Amino acid sequence: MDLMIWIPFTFLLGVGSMLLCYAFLIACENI
Amino acid sequence: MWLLPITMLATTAILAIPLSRYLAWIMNGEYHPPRFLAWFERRLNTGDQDWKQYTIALLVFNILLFAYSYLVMAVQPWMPLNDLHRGMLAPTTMAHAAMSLSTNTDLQHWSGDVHFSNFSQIFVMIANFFFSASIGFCALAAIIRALKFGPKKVGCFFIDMWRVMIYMFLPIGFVLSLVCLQQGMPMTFKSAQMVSTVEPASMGLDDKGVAKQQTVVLGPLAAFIPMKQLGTNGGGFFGANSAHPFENPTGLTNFLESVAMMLFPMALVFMYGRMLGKLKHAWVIYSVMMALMIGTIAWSIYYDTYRPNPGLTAHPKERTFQLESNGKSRPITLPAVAGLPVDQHLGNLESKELRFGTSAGATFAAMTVDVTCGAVNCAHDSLNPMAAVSPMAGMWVNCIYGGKGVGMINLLVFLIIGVFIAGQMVGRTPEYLGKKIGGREMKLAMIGLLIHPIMILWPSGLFAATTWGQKAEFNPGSHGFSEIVYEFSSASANNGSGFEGLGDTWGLNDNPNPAPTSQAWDIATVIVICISRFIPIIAPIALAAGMGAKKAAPFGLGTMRDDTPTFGFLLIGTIVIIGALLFLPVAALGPVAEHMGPIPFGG
Repeated sequence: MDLMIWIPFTFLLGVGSMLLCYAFLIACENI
Repeated sequence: MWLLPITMLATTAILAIPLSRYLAWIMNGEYHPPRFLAWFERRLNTGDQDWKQYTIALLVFNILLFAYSYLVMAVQPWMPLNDLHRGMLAPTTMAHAAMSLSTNTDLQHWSGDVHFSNFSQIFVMIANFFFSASIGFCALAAIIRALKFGPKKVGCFFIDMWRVMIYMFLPIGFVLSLVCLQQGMPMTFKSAQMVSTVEPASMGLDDKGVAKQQTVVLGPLAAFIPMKQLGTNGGGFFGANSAHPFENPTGLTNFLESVAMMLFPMALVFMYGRMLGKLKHAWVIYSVMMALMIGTIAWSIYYDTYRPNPGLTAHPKERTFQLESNGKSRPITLPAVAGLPVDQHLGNLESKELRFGTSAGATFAAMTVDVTCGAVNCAHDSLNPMAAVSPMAGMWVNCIYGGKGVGMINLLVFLIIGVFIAGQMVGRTPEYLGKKIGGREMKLAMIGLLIHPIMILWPSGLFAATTWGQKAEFNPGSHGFSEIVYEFSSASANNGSGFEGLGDTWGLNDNPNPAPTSQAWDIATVIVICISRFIPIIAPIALAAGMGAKKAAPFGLGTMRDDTPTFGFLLIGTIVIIGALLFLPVAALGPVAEHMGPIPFGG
């Protein structure tokens, strides 16, 4: 794999997934 | 045959009761820390957080843990303790590993003995064993305090993490590691021992015609394995996990590993009752979980240890079938098989470690998925088809003790839904712990419940219908479908075991022959693991906070009691019916279809 592309992409994928869960936490306040 | 699981369950049940007293004592802050720890604890304790602050702290901690794990794996080639010169892992493998380890899943698209150096095993895996296990524990503690004290005083995440690691995991893990050391588990920083095999050329010959030596991978196993089991992590040092003689040298270590992985999940149920002051209610929940666990263990043993391996039994007639694969149809002819002269009165022995006993594989398989550990001492891919329903069902339900904290949280979701259904049936407003269950609570409970089957069924369907899954299957037909479903079930349940005929490994970045669709598997499981870990934690915390803010209604004649056998049966019914409704179709397409035949076995 091309590290210059895949390392940032996969790192942001993991962090982004958890930020999605943070967004859900914010949404819980309005449920 | 039955003595093994009975003694394992009885031992764990007996130990769980006093342990729960200790856990409640620690988590309630009633202990007095030693002076050299008290200084540090005073600085760590930032005071009571509300439910949002606690959850944000939990999430941020996990993001940092993911980043740390990723970074340490990325620099593996340049770190010490790398005598076998392991290179850098592929980026998708690293992302999958970091997410898997930091969420207590430990689903492994890698083999530690092939892809990791001892530095990574220690600073990634063992570190995550402690941290990820503590996070689920803390989530349950937050829910208990939210229910008891309200949404603004759920404790301090940092001090909770400290308490769980320092006062629970470290001392118990240390004692267990001494026993493991005595039983012959290796404990060394050395990466490998080169040995000359008894049969000289079994490892092949080098360029000069000299017999090659075998590389026997070593490491700090006695420090690794106790936390792998106690923290219900499950990620193995070796790819063979607890089937490997270094990870599980003797029958006693197998027994202790089984007890260790069930200990905290069982104790946490009683801790829940003690901290809420409702121990009788906790006993009902515990009994429900025990009944379901006994059911899964009995099912697994019956269908795997009492039934022969269908691949070795006689098929007297030749059979021809049309197999659809990758858009093409081709005939497969199975010749008449006289049946191998193998004595099958001990059941299906394929991929079992007989040194633990004939029922040990099936027992461990049921127990490991019930407590979402994921360690294995036999190959789950080799279980008889109907026996495989047991581990799958354990993951689908995901509340038979479950992992530390999260299993009890999942059961609370089923409990809320069950109480709601019961309330609707009798025409009363549903309530739990004296607090009314309203629309907001039900919405959060349903989100917490439904995210798990969505994260299993949608990706399984997608991968089964595309080449992502079809090219990764090791077996055709319904067993291949079972492999796909099992992988996503394991990811979503944060379990970590697998039908590892599935080709989902890229491994080292310079691997010349990676599995063709391993990138898709890595990326999909990162997303599934993350969402299925945190949504079912966040939603119940929000639910508990909402309920905690309400005024408790006084107990009256019409209040549904939650400490009676009737309540227990309601709970079992809710779990079984909802679990069956959600997953019966996929069970029918996978293991049940495989059992019925006709390809490649069964019938």
